Amino acid sequence: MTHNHKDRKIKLTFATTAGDYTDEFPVNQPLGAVKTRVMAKLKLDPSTAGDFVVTLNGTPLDESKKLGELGLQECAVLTIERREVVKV
Amino acid sequence: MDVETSREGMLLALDTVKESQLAVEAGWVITSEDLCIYISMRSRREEGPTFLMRASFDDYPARAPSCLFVDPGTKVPGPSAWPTGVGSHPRGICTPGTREFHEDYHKNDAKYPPWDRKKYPFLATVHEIQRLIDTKGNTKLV
Repeated sequence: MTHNHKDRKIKLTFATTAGDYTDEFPVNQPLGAVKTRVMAKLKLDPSTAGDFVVTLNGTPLDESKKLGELGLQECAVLTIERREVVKV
Repeated sequence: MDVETSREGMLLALDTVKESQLAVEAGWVITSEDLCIYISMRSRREEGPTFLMRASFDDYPARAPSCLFVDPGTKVPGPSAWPTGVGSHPRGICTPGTREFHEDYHKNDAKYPPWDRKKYPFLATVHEIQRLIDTKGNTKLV
């Protein structure tokens, strides 16, 4: 079955210190919206989403971009982590 | 703290770290020996050396795990085994959840709640150490 671009999905895993979450996400969704949704699934307060970033290989991704614009590979593992490293 | 209680706590911490996708994403190689967990870590951002972190769980959970870097070959602590910006040899790793953080670097520091394994899960401590390695330019080749 052929899906048009609008319906395409990508399987991703989000890793956090509170647990991991794997699902298929529409490629036309902005990463920021996906982050908030994943945080809710992991019982992390979505209202604090601004305190967290999504990273790939340790580098924060542009959350205003849609998943399909980020060049992510199928089954990629992304992390959701605090924006600031703990200052010591 | 008796050894069996510490071992039980260490094995729980070990399972949590091994099962986490954070370990997959960062490429951690995780082993254990007696009351120690060893985690091989490197910068996620750039090519660079591999560092071997040793977490000792003696007296756990009464005290936080003692964390430092050791030579990957000999497992002996030393300054050459140490990345930059994560504390120093021989004081230990300075990040919340390590014994050295709570009992030395930030002893009696009201800014941080006292050590408690529920407040400072081992996985979060290891992940924070990974982030420090990422952000401190630990990319020189050895």
